[in-house]
Parts: sequence; structure tokens; C-alpha cells
Amino acid sequence: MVFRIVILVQFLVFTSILFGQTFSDYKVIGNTTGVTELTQAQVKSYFKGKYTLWGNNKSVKVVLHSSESPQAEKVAKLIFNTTHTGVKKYWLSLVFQGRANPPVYCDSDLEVLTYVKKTPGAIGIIKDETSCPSQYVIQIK
Amino acid sequence: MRHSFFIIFIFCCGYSFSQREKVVVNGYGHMNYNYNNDLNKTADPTLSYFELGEHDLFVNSYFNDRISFLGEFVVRYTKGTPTYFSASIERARLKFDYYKNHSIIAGKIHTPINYWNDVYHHGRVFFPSIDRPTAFSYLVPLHNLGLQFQGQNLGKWNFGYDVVIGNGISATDASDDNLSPATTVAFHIKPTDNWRIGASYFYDYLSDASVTGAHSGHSTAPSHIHGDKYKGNLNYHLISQSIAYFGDKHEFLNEFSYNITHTDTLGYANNFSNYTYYGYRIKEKHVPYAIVDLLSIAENDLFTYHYDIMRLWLGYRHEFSETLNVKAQVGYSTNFLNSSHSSTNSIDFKVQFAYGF
Amino acid sequence: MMDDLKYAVICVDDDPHILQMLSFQLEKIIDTKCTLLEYFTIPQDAIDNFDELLQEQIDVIFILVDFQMPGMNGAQLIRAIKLKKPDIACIMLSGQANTVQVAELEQDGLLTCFVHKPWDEATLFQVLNPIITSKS
Repeated sequence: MVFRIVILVQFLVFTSILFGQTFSDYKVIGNTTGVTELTQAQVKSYFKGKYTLWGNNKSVKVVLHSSESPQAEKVAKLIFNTTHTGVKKYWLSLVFQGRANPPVYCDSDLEVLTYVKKTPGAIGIIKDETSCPSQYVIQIK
Repeated sequence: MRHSFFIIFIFCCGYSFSQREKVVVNGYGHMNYNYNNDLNKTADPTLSYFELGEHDLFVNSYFNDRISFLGEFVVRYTKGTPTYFSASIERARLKFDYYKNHSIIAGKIHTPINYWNDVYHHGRVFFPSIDRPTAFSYLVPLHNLGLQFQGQNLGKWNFGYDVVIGNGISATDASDDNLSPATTVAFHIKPTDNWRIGASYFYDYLSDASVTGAHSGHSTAPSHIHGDKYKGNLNYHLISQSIAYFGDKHEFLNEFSYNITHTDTLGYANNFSNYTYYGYRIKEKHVPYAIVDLLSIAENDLFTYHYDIMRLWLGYRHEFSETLNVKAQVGYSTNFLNSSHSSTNSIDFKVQFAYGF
Repeated sequence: MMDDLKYAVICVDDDPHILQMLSFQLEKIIDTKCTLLEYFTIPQDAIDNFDELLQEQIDVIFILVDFQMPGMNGAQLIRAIKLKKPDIACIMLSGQANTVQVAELEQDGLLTCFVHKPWDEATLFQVLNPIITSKS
């Protein structure tokens, strides 16, 4: 009985890690995008390379989490509904087709934030707990 | 001195970081094992050999917010050359994003004629199976050198369009033998991320159909009687349609092409091809699949020449990662038209390691 | 094997692609076990071969010729063949025939039929089938 409870709790924790992430757990950040708020669907579209330019004609530079980042799998599930390997495969193929410029992969929330701060047009996603100047935060409507 | 080294070190880090952003270089390659048993032959019917495949250097760079460069340079085995290898520029193009998701592209591209040519190019690691569809060796004008107007992810259905005006099938990368450019018009929709449904039309006028330039299919057989190719003029129309679905479990691709060639000598020749692929992902990395690949070239075709073949394949793909996979296929090839004048009857077994880096 | 061949058909066109197309089509309506199919790009070669077939007593059912050929045009070739075998059927397959010479052939009763290039298979078979079946 105890064993079954332990297994159930582990399963729930595991699935909550993989499936329990929501946008409220994260902050979408951007630099000089001319955009202050986006819907969840729009956020996903930007991270999937569906938009080439922001409204202010800056190119969209997508920043993703590398496999070194603890957020990699969670962000992959949240945005792409797949694994981190699936995300890399998706982007590799998109770039190879010539339909998008390559994304940048960063190893941590801090690296994502640092890159976004110094790169106009960049968009990234970090944990909500990670502190970030408010001018970079894009609200999710 | 220590101060100088520190400055140089910081510079190199910054330089390499900015290089990492602006210039991305990837490589792709593959190697095969091939086994073929020609059931029509009584003497020496079997071939068995390893093959070093194409190796592909892929470069992507952007100059500013709106202008980027893409290059794909391939080295492949070529008989009769001093090193047995030759290099080619498969793609080299500048892209200008002039307004939202609309772009103008100049350079050498893969003709956006169907899903396969537009998505997979020369990267075997992206192929769901080992080889391209048979039509690529006969009907499909693989490359185009010219100007492309492209739009993508437009509207609710992610509508995309491509209009290409460029050198024709018989052209080289430095000249064209006639004033008539080749024209491609293609469009597609992606109702969801996993779907892509598209169609295209390609037209070219060849003033000398015997000249197979840099942009034809990779194989056009000579005339059966004399080995001389038809040297007259020819109108080439190609209509293609594709449906692609690549989801978590199911993978499906169907590409149909209808080709009409017209000569004053033999009139209209009607050719077609159809490629159907289905794969089922039984676990994250394991995908068994099946293929039916048909090609029919009419008797009176004077560009590709009369041929028909049906290839049936069963295969398995194991994905070690997004940049390494192994595929194995067993297949049977035969004619499927009663009027066929060529006789094909063979069994094949192939294994491929495809990788990227 | 030659003993089994009772009949022959001759096609003459300086374009080998035309001859190849004709070979694909004729093989559909002619029994090649008893009929020899011969193809020539040079009219004189066709005439020389015709003489050999006559000597072998092989019945040449019909001759199918282009008009525009180097050395000898189709009308001249038909006249030469008709001298050797008056009852042979002669069909001209052409896109650029001299209408005067063709009309003269028709007036002289030397031309069985004229088929315009490019031709479709059904039209050609409509012309040839009665000739072939009259022999079998």
C-alpha cells in the first residue's frame, strides 16, 4: 500500500513537472519588439518561427533553452508540446529549409535574460521567479 | 602584458559569441550499404557495396534585421574526376524580408515544386526514408537560379506562396540557352503545425531538349534506339500536389506530379508520378514505415524518355537524436504498366546512417 | 527464326525518335512472331533492304515514310518502292510535306494514306489495322 502511494505520488510529481507547466509559471521577455502583450497562441507562434519581423521591422530573434538548461524540457512541452529533442529537430529543419534564421540556445535563465537585454528583437522565456526589469516583460493576455 | 592578454581574450570571446549569433554552420552527411538482386539477370545478378554519400556544408548568416544568406555546398562521389569527388553549390541565396512575412530571394534555390524538394534538400538526416522519390531522378527540376517571391505563415491557415522566375532546366549556373525563363508558382496551407497541403505549377521552354543543364532531374535516359537525345524544342509543364502530415505518432506524405511535354515531332506526352509514405512512431525513437513509389513516362516523351517503374519499400528508422539516425529498407521494384518496354524486376536491401553536426 | 517470318513492315524517317515511337506503337498491333519490323533513317538503306526481303520472299505489308529526308524525299521513295512491288500499301507520315508532290502521288494512286505529324496512336491504328488484317 505504501509502495503504491509512493509510486502514485512520484507519478503525479513527474507529470506535474512535464504537464503541469503553464504560462503563469513563466515570463516571456523581449527587447525592443514594440510589443507589450501577446496571447499564448501568439507567443507560441513567435517561438515557432512563424513571424519574421516585429511590427517595428526588427527581425524576430528567438532565444531557446539549451539541453544544459533545467528549463529545457518544460519550455519544450509548454511552447511546442514536445520534448527538447523535438524542439531542436523542429528548428534544425526550419533553418535548413531556409524559412527562418537560427535560434539562439542559452544554458540558463540568466543567459537568456542577458542575451535578450543586449539584442534588439530578441524574445525569450524564463521562470517567473527569475528577476527581470519590467521593461523587458511581455504580458500574456 | 597580462592586461593585453586579458583584452585579447575578451575580444575573442566577444568575437566568437557574435560569430555564433550571426553565422551558423552545420554539416550533414550519410553513408549507405546497398544490396541489389536483379531477378531478370541470370549472370551476376547481385550487387553489394558500401557507399559514401553526399556531404553537405550548410551555412546560414544574417547581415542585418532583414537580409540573410543561406548556402549549401555539397561534395559527392563523382566517377571520372581526379579525386573521385566533385563539389557543387546546391543553394546560395540572399533573402530580403521586406514586409512582415514576405520576402524576396535571389540566388540558387531548390525549386519549391513539392514538399520533399522544399523541405529536405540534401540533408538525409531529415529524410523520413533513405532515398528521394524516384520522380526526382526523372521529372523534378531540382534547382532554380533566379528570383523568388515568398510569403509564409499568412493568416489563419498559415498560407504560403512561392513565385520563382529563373534559369530553365537546360540552363547552367552561369548561362541559359534561351530567353524564356522557367516559372514556378506554388502555394501551401498549414491548417495545424503538423499539416502541410500544397500544389504547384512549373513551366519551361527548352529550345534544345537534349541539353540537360544544372537544373534538370538527375537522370534522363537517352533514346532506346540510337542513344541520341532529341534536339528539338520542347514545352515542359509540371503540376504537383502534396499532402504532408508529421505528428507525434503518424507520419504521412503523398506527392503526385503530372507532367506534360510537348514537341512538334511527337505531340503531347503525359507522364505522372506518385509517392506515398506512411510511418508510425511506435516509441519515441522507433519508426517503421512503408512506401509506394510510382513513375510512368509516356512512349512519346522526348525529354525523360519512356519508362515506368513501381517501387515498394518497407523500412525502419531509429532516431538516436535529432542529428543522427539509422534507416533500413527492403524493397521490390517492377514495372506496373502492361505496355512497358523496359523490364524491371529486382529486390533491394539498404541501410543508411545519416548524421548532422 | 527467319523461316517463321512471312511478312515485313518498313518504316523510314530520318528522326530516330519517330522510329522509336513507331516501334512502340506497331508492336501493339503487329504479331512480331511472323512479321519483321524494320526501321531506317536513310531512304537508300530502306530500298536495299526491300530488295533483300523480296529475294527472301517475305511479303512487305506496308511501308511508312516521312516526307522530308536527306538524299531522297518520301514521295521519291514511294515511287521507287512501287516500281518493285506495285501492290504494297504506302503511308506517308509527315508534318512538312510538299503538297504538290503528295497530291501527285494521290492522283497516281500510289499513296494509301497521309497521316499528319504529330499523330495520335488511334488515328494511325485506324489506317494500319485494315491493311494488316487483310493479310491475316
